[in-house]
Amino acid sequence: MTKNPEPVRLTSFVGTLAFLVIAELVLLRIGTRTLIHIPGLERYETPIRWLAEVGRFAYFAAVVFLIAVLVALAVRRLRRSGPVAVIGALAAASFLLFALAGRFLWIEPAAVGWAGMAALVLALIGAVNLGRRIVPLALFTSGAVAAGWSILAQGRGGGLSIQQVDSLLIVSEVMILLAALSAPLLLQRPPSRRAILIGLGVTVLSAAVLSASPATMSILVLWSFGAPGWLSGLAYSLALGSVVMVAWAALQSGEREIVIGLVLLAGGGIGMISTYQTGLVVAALLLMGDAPAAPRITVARLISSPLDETARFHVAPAGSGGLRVLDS
Amino acid sequence: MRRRHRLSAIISLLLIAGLMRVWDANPAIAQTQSIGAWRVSSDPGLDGSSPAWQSILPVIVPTTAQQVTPPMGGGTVARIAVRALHWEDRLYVMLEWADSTSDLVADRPEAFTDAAAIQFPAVAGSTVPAICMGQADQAVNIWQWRADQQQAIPGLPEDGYVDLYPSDDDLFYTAREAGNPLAQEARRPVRNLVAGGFGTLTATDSTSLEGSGIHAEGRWMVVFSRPLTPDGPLQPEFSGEVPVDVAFAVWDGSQGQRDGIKSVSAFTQLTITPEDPPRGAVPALGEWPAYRPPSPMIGFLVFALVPVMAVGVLIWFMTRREPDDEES
Repeated sequence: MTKNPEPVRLTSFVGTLAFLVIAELVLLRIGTRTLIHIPGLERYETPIRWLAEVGRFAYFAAVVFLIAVLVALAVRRLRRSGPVAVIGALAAASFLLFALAGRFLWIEPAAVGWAGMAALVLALIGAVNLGRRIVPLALFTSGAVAAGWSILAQGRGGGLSIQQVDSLLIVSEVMILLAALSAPLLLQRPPSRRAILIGLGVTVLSAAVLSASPATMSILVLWSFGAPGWLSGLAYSLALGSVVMVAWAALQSGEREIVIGLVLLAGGGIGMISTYQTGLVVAALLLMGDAPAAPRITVARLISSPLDETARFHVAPAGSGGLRVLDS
Repeated sequence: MRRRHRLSAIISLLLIAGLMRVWDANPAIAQTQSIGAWRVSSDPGLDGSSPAWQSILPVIVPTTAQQVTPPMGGGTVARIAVRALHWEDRLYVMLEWADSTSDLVADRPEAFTDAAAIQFPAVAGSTVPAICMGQADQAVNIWQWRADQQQAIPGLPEDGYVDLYPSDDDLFYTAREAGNPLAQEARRPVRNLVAGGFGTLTATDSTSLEGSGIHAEGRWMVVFSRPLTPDGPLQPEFSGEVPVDVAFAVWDGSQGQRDGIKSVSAFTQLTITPEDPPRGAVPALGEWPAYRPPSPMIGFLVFALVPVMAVGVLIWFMTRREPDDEES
């Protein structure tokens, strides 16, 4: 395999994709489906229809951009060497092929579903070089696989009892909560105090809202993310606060892959809802898997700045750039 | 890629998305739960407790409270078991859910009946309509079964009245004269309705929809049946080519549920298939539990491990902050 050091730059495309995902999520999936139920808004039916149309266009554009981004992510991985890069490329390419085959009814929808789950696992393996950052991604993928399994192994798939379906759904919810709570591990460096305060604020605010109307949480979780929302509202509040804190901190530190990855994961959810949403999760895993691997402090930085008490010295492997201090 | 090329690529992708929207050619496909409508060689009938129905493996669809539009609430039924068959030119769909009481009459203002409903997009589209009664530009077709419309009030003769006017003149029966479907003399347990948004629910003239429910051993089994080809506008056609989006709702009258207070599912998909139904070890009637709260282990995970993990990650980050990191 040829090794090309020039990276495929995707910032504009994944940034546009993230923008479109937010637009379709807010306008189509949430906005136009709730606005029409607000008393007194009937006279704004025409603007709401236009808003729905904008959301629908955003959805189509997001699907088209997602295909382009998955192709580009596969190409980018293929231009690197090593089995991990190839596995990442395989995840994107195989998912696209199966989704296409499903679109044209060449294969059964269930086969597309199983292929989607396999692609998620492959994409996670493709991110194995991330170090501790893989923890939240692995938890999220576990949740998605559990939720997908509960769907695919019913009916013709057969074999799952009602208790097993319940257990898988609960496991998927616990996993997505743990993924959100461990999301700070995605950051290169600790979040600022402002980010922590914003996260705590969101936690308290959402806990208050969900305590007042716990069923609202259930329906939002079910419809937006595909999970039944059977757990305590406090757990979801903590998870939301954690994700908001991480997104804010990543924005502050310029870690665009993390912010965009979180947006794509939020748009994708875990419910195995459509190839579009599963594709968003695959793209998010590959994108975050391409983020810089481990937070490091160079020798120059060590000399020029005081070192944290907990930092430890490690000698990097030969040929990897010499002595470095790994901020563990 | 240079900036000009990137911009050209982005504009090209947006144009492609626009064309796809115009043609309604969605490259993505649904991956939600797929409910197979299996082919059978004899009439399965409308008795959901019969072996013809009970030997088929169901698909378990999770439900939650309706919290989008007032009156909100419900959610006491956590899941519905769905089976579907087709025989000759008719589609049969059975909903089964746990309900310890059979609420057959609504003879007092504070009494409400058990009921169930199936909702389809009136016209197939690239995106599903709003789950609550559809939306202005995407109507829905709703099949509703009501226990109080299925049989006479217990203890009352078949031809008995609970209210009597001293005249046969239609004008004395104002609701019936106005076309209220619930006031008609011919009792029909199922109604074929269409809606294009909240407050627009309208009964159709269709008479091809049939249905019946039976309550046994703590659960309802309700079967709906309709020809594959509709007999009026705004009703879906079922064919083997294209899956149809479908959502479910049930009402528990003893819990005060009526109108928007109900347990609802997200949209799943129904596919007419020429294959035989999957049969297997279906839990016996008495073995199927009502809603089961999470197990103690899950409770431990959520209420102990999750907050500990959240606090642990936070403390870990805060204690390893570098002194020069404070940017806020």
